[in-house]
Amino acid sequence: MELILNQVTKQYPGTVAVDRISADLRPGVIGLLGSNGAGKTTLMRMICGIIKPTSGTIRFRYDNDTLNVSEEMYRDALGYLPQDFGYYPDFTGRKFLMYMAALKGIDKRTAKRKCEELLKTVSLEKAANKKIKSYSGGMKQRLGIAQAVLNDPKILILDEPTAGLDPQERVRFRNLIAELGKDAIVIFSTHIVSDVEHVADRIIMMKDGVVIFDGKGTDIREDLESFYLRSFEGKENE
Amino acid sequence: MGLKSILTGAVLVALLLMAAGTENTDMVWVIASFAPACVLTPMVLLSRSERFGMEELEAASRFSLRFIRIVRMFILGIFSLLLLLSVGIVLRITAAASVMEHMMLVVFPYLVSAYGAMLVTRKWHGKENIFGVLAVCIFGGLLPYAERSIRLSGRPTNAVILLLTAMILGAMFRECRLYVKESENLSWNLS
Repeated sequence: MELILNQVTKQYPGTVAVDRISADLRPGVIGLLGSNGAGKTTLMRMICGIIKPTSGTIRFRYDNDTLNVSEEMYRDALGYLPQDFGYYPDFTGRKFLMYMAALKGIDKRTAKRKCEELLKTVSLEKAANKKIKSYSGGMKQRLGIAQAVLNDPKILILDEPTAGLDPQERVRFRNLIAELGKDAIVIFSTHIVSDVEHVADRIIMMKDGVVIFDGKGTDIREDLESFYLRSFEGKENE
Repeated sequence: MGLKSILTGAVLVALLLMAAGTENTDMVWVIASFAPACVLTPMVLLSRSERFGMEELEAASRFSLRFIRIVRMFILGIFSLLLLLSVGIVLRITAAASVMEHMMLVVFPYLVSAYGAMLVTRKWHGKENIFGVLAVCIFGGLLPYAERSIRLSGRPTNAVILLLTAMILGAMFRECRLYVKESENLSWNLS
């Protein structure tokens, strides 16, 4: 299983959000680090097929034979948690998950079972029948994580997933994605270094739309946080 | 569909049934003016994802945004068809209105409102577009009265009514196509 990004570029009038990014991504946890405006979200949206790359290709090899999978097969393999996601105010947590399961094409019986499992995993079983508008930020984020993994995705894209989580939830979440990363390509973006250094098998660092580091945490000879801050020094001082 | 929508629908049906029992010809204008307001419900449901920020999540689901939009439009189209049919039956009972009268008083204003509402939704992104849709519906509600004045100075021929309805229906289909096409611009490129 492989996700191949080849010279992926996204250009907006007057700015290049993502500039010719190439990478072969395999199962494991890939931490996408970068400051705000580095192009992480744009890259993730392109991987999810929400926005079209200006140039370059993104291809998914599910097994050795299939390089160009169908759109439906690709989407079927995808789980996504956007940075900011909305919800229908009249939905309860359970109804939201059932709705997302329907959109993901999961049959009702499986969806019900999966929803109950995931509500338990993200500790929302007691609040499952409460309306989402009454949820705290952390609860909404956990619900978002649950919907992302409903279909047992092969490619899991998480944009700033730990935002709004308390330290305890953060640790639980790290364990969850480490587990998911055994069988799936998990890409999660953050600007919190400690989130990445604990779970990521591979770190991709972005700055101004380009990759400035791609490798393992151990490849960096200094402390990851110092390396990260040094890489973004110019930006931070602006 | 939420409880509010069901209640609104129930109130509307009750009003129609009451109108059917009154045998008051003035009710024709009231019913005709209310029909365009019913465009609000389909439009609210159609632009629901955008209004509540669910578009990004839905766009990344198994079914493409294009597919979701087509299915929604199909369901809402059936809703509209049933509504127009019910109003037509009520008009027939209440005022022995002919098919052409029904078309002129109800179908045409409804389609004008639906077209305007689609245009507003496609061009004006954001939660506030509902106010634009509301303005279009109010305009649609006034159309039967304008038609009444026209009728006083001379009844339009069936050909004119049919031509106007066909034109607005064509514009409506074009708008639906553009709305779906807009989602294609966001869609996945597996080239």
